Amino acid sequence: MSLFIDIPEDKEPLPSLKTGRGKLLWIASTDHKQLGIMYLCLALFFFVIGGLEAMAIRAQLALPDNDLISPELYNQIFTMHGTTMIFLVLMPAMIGLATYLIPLMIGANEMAFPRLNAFSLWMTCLGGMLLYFSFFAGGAPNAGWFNYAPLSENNYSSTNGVDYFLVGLILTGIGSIGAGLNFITTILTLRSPDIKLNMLPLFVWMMLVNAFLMLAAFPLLNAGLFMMLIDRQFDAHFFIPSTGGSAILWQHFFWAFGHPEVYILALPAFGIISEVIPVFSRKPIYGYKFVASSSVAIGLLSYSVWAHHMFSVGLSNAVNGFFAISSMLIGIPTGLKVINWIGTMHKGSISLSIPMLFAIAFLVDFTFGGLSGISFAIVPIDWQLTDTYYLVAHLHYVFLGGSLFGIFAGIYYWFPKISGRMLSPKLGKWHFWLFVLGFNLTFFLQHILGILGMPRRIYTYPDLPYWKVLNIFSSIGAVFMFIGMAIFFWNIYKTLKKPRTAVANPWDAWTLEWSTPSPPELKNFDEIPQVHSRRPLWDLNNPDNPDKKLN
Amino acid sequence: MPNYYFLKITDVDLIEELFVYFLIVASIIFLLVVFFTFFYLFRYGVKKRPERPSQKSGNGNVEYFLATLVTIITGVFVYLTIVTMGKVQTIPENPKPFLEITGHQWWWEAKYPNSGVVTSNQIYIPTGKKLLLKLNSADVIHSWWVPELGRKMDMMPGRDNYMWFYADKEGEYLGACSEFCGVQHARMRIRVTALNPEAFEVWEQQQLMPVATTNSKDFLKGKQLFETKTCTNCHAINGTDFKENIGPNLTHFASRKRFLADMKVNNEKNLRAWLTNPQDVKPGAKMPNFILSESEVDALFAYLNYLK
Amino acid sequence: MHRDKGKLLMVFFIFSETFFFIALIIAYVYYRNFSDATDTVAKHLDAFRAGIFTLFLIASSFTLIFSKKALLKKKYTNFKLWMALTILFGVIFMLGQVTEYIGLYQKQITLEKDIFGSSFFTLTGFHGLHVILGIIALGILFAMSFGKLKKVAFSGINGVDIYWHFVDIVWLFVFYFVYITPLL
Repeated sequence: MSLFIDIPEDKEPLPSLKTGRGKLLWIASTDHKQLGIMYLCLALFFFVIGGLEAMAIRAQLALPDNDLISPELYNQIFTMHGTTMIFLVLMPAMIGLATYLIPLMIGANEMAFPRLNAFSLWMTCLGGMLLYFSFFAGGAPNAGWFNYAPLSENNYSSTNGVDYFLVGLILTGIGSIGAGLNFITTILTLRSPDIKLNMLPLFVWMMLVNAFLMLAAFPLLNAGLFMMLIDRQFDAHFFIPSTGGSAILWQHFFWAFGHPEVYILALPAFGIISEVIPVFSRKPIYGYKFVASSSVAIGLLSYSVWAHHMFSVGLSNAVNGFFAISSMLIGIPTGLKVINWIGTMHKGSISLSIPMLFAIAFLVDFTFGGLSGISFAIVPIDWQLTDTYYLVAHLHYVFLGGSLFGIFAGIYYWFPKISGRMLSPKLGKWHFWLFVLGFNLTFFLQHILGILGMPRRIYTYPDLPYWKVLNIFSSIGAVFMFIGMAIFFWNIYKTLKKPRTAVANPWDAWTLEWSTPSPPELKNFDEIPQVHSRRPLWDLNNPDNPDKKLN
Repeated sequence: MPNYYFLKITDVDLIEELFVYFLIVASIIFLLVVFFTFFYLFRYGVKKRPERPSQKSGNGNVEYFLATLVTIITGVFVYLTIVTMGKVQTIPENPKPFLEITGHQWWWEAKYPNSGVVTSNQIYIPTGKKLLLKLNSADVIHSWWVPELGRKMDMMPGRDNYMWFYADKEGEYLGACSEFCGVQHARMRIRVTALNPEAFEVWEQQQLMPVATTNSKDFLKGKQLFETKTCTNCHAINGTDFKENIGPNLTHFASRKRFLADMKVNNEKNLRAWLTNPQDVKPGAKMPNFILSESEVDALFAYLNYLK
Repeated sequence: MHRDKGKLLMVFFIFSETFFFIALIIAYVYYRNFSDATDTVAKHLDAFRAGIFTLFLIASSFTLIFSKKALLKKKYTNFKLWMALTILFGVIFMLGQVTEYIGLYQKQITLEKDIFGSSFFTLTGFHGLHVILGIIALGILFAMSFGKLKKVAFSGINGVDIYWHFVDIVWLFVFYFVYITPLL
């Protein structure tokens, strides 16, 4: 056990912000738990900003020919909304949960490279700050979150917003690569010696696959971003068709990153759901090997589907056909996972606590979003519906119904571990119902708007039949979500004021993180419990009926 | 394989048919997921089954069976996709487009190569004939989409894209630019008017007439203003030396029912407002505010009204 | 379960970097083969001259292997000698690239001239940046071998040598696509 000798800290709690050196001990920290918490705080902070931007968008679109927000500002807001939510909310939230949990789940006391871990966090933070600094430097980026050339090049985008976008994303990209490197090396080298790869908790499995995706996807984005930065700053010609460049190449680069990115945001949520559903059904996951291996299949396939974002560009039937087939294939492993999650509930003993509620909402809404995604793999349907509100609805079903509901389930599930306090289930239920119903109201209607012909990214629209009523109800749904989120933050605030009363294992869960006190001390494990199966704590608490030994 | 051209089954019908198939299958799958989720929730709730459940979980055969089933469904849709795609996207070797449309920030330029008609924004087509469109862009990426008349196709700068377009009945069809193209993307809408072939012929002849000219005083004054106020740096008038197409061609402006890419009805009030301060009407539009006096606006308005 | 996590980190970092260079090389190949423009840079490139500098870079990989072997056998003088040679070869390669840039700029071939200027300078520039970083890393190892930090140098070389070989291999691809394919 030479692994744990190196860490000198004794039993002491995480530094408190209230003590004299508390703040410094956080800013300078290399502890994975502190960094994980800071990642989550970063995500929540930007979630507020991105959410307010979303509210501004829905306010502007509530009525036809509305002139609440000027078109210039609207374009900045929707660009920043998309960029923020993907790069500064979902990414840090996923990475934060993983940073906090991976060492705890595999019986390690630290990440493999604690300083790299801190570097990753602060790069992400710096990238976010730079991105938002653009508002004070002449104007935010305004070419959409996928920043299509040549609209994003000097001739058509005269403010420095896009430059801030490029530099900001390069920095967060470097941060994500650092996090990915850390996850892989930690999982491969710092596991407790008992734990074999096929005994890893599924969340860790998903993060392992995910880390590989990050390592391969972000360099592609960064290469494209650098080329565009060179275009804009040094007058190169990469993506400017009028001087010999290629606008399509940017799309290839962006989506070769962008589609794996969708799975980078989905896989951790799959992992969270694969932890939550078994615990609250009191049964092990249905088909562990299928869930784990289907993630690998998704990871590999996700690199051969990117051009389904480009079916309307005018590629040949052969190219379109190839990407259509692989895009439909990727639905198979994803569908298998849904079957496995439902199978886990079969003959279980299901208790509907808040994490489980969000897991159920995830099952329903993510399935819906996944199915509407298939309609974009069917090329001719894509030729009608791409870049409409049908697509906006689809992507929100995947990112909110999928990733965000997963994160909510995770936050409610691990909050007692992280803070030592249970979030109020009563307020949690309010949050759940308002947010989930509001979400479905807002975005279900947008499918219909898309079919009626409403393109995405428009700051206003003429008063065509049904457009007004559908948009008003869509905006009303957003208000419900807003109130739900306010309750969520109120819940966190109230809970943090209370004393620490949570027990070590409040959900009677099975993975190693629950063997530590809530919250864990600076050093995670004095001695790790014996691990012989995928559910060490189950074996400990049910000596009469332990799992099959795997080592 | 039946020839859909003669059967009058349009691309849009084909796509709709495929969408209906998709909708049926997707709905069944979704309802099954919802049914089982909620059925298990109620059937296996902790209140009904407080005891520790059996810890056996997972059944390889079930998984393989379902995976096979899903793969078969996927295979069917792969087949349908490839077949429909082949029917909708068929571009001949040497395409001879009926209509060439160029996207500009934020208006449409339309050329009819057969007749030589050049117009902008107000686009007319004949009914009952499958038309080949050629699409490209003068600046950024735009996307041509009139849902009832054909597929969506991006307009890529530096690249020609082709697509089929078909209107069965006379009437007006609405569409919009579907790729984000800058400040006024929202106001880059499409209105296609389908006429019966005879009426279309008449329209074409009218568009081919030389630019109107008279000796009346307001016409000449407006014409002079039009030329001296640098309007001609961007706007072309057929039959004159002014051939720039940065802004819409104005040769037959007065014959158009709407202007500014379908944003406004072409009437006195709207046109005067536009000439007085374009940035107020359509912020970000490429036409600057020339700070014209009221009498200059009158003259330009009168001049444009002659351009029937 | 003890694995060299530093080496593992470097392996995965290089895995990641590979995708970065693949993207840049794809851009170069794409513009040459799928755009209407003719390659304006290729005819000004001297493949023979670049080939000689390529040999220096390849040689530096071998000298690095020898220096690592020497270190493993604790022959510190040999280690220093081979390491110095490695750094020298790296510097010679960089000098070759810098003089080539100067020559091209004198012929008015610049980053902003056209698409091939853009992609040539971006691709070789990013590679050059990696070489410089590699030289710095080697330099640090070299400097440390004079002090008492032999143990750190020992674990450091495991990472640095993978990185240096990677930079070397990337250059072979760059050399092939930028200098050789126009001649074929």
